[in-house]
Amino acid sequence: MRYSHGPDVLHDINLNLAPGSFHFLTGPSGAGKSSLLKLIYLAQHCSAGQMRLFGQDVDACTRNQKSLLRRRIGVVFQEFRLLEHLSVFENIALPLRAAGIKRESYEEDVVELLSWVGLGDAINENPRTLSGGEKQRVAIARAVVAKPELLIADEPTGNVDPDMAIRLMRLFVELNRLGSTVLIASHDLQLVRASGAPVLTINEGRLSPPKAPRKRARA
Amino acid sequence: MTRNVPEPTPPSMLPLRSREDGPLFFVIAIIIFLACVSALITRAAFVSAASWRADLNGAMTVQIKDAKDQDRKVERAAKLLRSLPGIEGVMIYDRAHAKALLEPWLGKGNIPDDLPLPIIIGLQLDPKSPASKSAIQLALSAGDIRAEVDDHRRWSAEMNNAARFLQIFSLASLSLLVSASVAVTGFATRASLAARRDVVNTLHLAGAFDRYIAEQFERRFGALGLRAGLMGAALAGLAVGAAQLLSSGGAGLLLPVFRLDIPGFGILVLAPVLTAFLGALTARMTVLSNLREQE
Repeated sequence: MRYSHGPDVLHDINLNLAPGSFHFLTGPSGAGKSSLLKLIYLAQHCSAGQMRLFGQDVDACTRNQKSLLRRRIGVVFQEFRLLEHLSVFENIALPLRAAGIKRESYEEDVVELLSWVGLGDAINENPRTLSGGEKQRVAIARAVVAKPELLIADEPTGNVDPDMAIRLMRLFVELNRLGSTVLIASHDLQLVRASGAPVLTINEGRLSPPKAPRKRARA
Repeated sequence: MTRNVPEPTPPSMLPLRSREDGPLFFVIAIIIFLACVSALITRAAFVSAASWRADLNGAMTVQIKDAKDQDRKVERAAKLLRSLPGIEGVMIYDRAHAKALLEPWLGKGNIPDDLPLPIIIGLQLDPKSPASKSAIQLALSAGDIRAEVDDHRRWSAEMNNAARFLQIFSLASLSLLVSASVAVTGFATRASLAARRDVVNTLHLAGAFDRYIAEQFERRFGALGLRAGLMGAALAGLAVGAAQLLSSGGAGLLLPVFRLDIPGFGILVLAPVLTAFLGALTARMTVLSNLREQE
């Protein structure tokens, strides 16, 4: 994979995420973690090779088909990407609204999810008024609200306190138990080790084979 | 337990107001003002040119050359001309009329009675089958009246050239302004869209179809174009109305003949609609092009 006409940032990637699996992705800064995640959540495309997502050849997909694939992926962005002109509720409901789902169908779920991430009172707040940790929780709630088949998170616990980090990891594990495939990029080696999930390591754009899990994913 | 109730869903995924909209609104309003004024000038130029042509092509003048017993000969010539086919109207510009024309230069009462003044007969020709210059000349000669017939051919050619120049010039100005409107509106819309790339990216990655994202911007920029177009057209209407008032107050010779009639109003009504359409189209094309460039 390369950005525009620049050099390749990922080389010889051979990765298969089995449905329902839980993986961590680690590596030093600039190793290509975010680039690999962008490739998987279809923000970038392969410059060579083939990528299959949910059994479909991505390169053969039309633009609308790719949009439908994206709806099956929940993404927690490192920089949150919350829309500051929308309320917390509207930010979380954004993937559902963009998919054309009526508000009556999702309102209850969004309110419940907000309570679960501890932001029940901030439902009509503007994201600008939230702390970094609260923004991160909103970003996570938005990523999981549509019960995605694949959840990708880029440093999802980077801005929250240890208690909230454990709470959020429990949410990811719960989603994984419900069938979602989870891939989390993290620098937090303590968290990675504590989870016992297989770890993918990337260095200079090259991915090492996953290390065997030491114990079952649990947070 | 009290349940937190979310506020109603906003109609658009875009901010209700944004900093970028203000300058864009004014740029579009000014461009539309200029385009409307230019369109109305173009229309005035066409109307004036057509009127000049009709006036010149449909008229001839006859100057009676006989100085002796001139008044009687003028009367006789007028009677003869009225009887000729292809002539709809005959008007005598007599000595009093000629004096009145000279008075602004020579002053009232300063024109001596024995000053030889030309007596002119104005002819209004039948537009369907106008009488020819030679036929009129022949009829006057046959009636023993020495006269010179002028079909204004020299003036007519010059006037036609001037009218054609005015038409081409105003059309070229209008074309340039419309092109500039399209380019500026497109450029300003792109600049404004660039500031909302975050919305485009977030919706795109959330799985929104391209057309859904484009619709958000289409509606927004269509409405902005309509508002700015209405402002520009209203200002143009006021400016033209003021020019019309000035023209009727005696400054008409110095100002173009503006007419805020039904076609004029049509231009003012059409301009905001076209601006809205252009804004929406530009936004749609820009968003779709940005989305394609992203991958």
